[in-house]
Amino acid sequence: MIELNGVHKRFGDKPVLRDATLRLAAGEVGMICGPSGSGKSTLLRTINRMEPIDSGDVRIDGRSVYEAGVDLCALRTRVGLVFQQFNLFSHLTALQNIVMPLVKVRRLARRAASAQALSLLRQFGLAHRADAYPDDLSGGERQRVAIIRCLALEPSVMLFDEPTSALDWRLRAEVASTLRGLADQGIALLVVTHDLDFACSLGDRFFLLEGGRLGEVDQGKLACCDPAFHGRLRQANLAFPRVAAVA
Amino acid sequence: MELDWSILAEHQFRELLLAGMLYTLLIATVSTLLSLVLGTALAAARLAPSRWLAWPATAWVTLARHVPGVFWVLFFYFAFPELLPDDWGMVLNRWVHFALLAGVVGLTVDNATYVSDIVRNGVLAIPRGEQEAAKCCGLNPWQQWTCCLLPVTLRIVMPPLANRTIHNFKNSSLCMVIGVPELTWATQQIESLTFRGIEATLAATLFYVALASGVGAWARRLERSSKHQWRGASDVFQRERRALREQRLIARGWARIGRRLPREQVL
Repeated sequence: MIELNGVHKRFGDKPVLRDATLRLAAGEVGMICGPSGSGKSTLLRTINRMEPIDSGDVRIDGRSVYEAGVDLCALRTRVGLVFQQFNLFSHLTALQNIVMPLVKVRRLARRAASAQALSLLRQFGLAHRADAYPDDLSGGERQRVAIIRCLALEPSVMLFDEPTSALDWRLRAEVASTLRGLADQGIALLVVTHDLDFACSLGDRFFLLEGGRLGEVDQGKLACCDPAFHGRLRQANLAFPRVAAVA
Repeated sequence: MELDWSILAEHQFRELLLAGMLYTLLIATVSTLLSLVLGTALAAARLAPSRWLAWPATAWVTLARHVPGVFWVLFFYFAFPELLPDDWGMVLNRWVHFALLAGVVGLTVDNATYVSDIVRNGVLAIPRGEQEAAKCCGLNPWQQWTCCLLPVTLRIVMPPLANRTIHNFKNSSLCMVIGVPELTWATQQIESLTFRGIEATLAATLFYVALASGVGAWARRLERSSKHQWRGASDVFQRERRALREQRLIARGWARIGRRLPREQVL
């Protein structure tokens, strides 16, 4: 469960987050939309303390992330973050990208970690690419490896920064079904996206970040068809969702 | 002018040259290895988020880089014992191998400053995303360095590091100023005893060229293997690779006997 209570964050004089408040239960998928540079990625990064906040509080499963003495390494294994550019370790193969954190962070034996990683790769249809280096993987494959790398650490919360920005429509559908599967496992997902088709097809709840203010737009997917919502999205330079996808 | 190579075959001069080569190899190898460790540590300190680490390390590197290498050799031989308590200084000065130690430490300090700059620039060249991914995976700072940053950095900095290593091998000749019997010192001795310096100098030159070529070839080999994305570089993952190969063989076997493999379940 993710809770943000009155989070304020500024870069120099520029306020990025103003009183951002959000609550997402386990198994829910929250979609965050907003214009470029509105602080969506920063919001994600404050949740796993990659960016410090100025005031407010962030809680994961009821425990404050910003209280003194929090074990950051343990926190970051509970809060998986999948980057827009995936950021796989370029000197390791797909399998090694997954095995290394398991061995180093979860202290699993290499054999057990390899078995677990292979089983996850198999689940995601990537067993045949286990030995490939990130440069040899396609965008979709890289993304799935990045998801598996986070997932292997058994997080209770997963954050996705523009997960479909580099993918075609077929891979987007694949990613959407993958993320839905993760939510069904009880993982709370917070997804930053510009892709409203994708947001509407996947999200349970929708948030709009504008001028540093985070607001929940509507609780249902049908909110995307609301003309007022469209107007705000237009102001935010976002694309229209396809009504067919919503229906 | 006639060259008389027979003097190099004379027992005393041959021994002098061989000992010089061994000393050169020893000084160069030990100081290079130590400076790689010290330089990497300095680079890590300079990149550390804590000012208490970054500032002193940066100040030290800036100072040390602007001082000639021979100064460090002289400093550790003449001045350093004076800075120690009397007894310690005396003990050091009386020790037979103190000149060798001072030479190695001096070269290490000199080379480490350049190595730290090279490593630091290598780390800065790594995409920031990979560093953040290492943090997000829950790796502690030591693990971030050893598992993610250093392997990639080494791949990036291999060519300048090889150049620096060759330079340090040649710098071993600076130790002659404090009387370490390395190759250049031996050459000088032969010259002053026989007045036939050209033969000895040519022999020493050949040795230096061979040494630098060897280091260069070794670095090129490492560089080539790193271009193949460090395949087989770490034995940590060898077992996984073997397991995968075995699985593929088994899969092929299944396919051959015409039995249907279980479909991969896609989430």
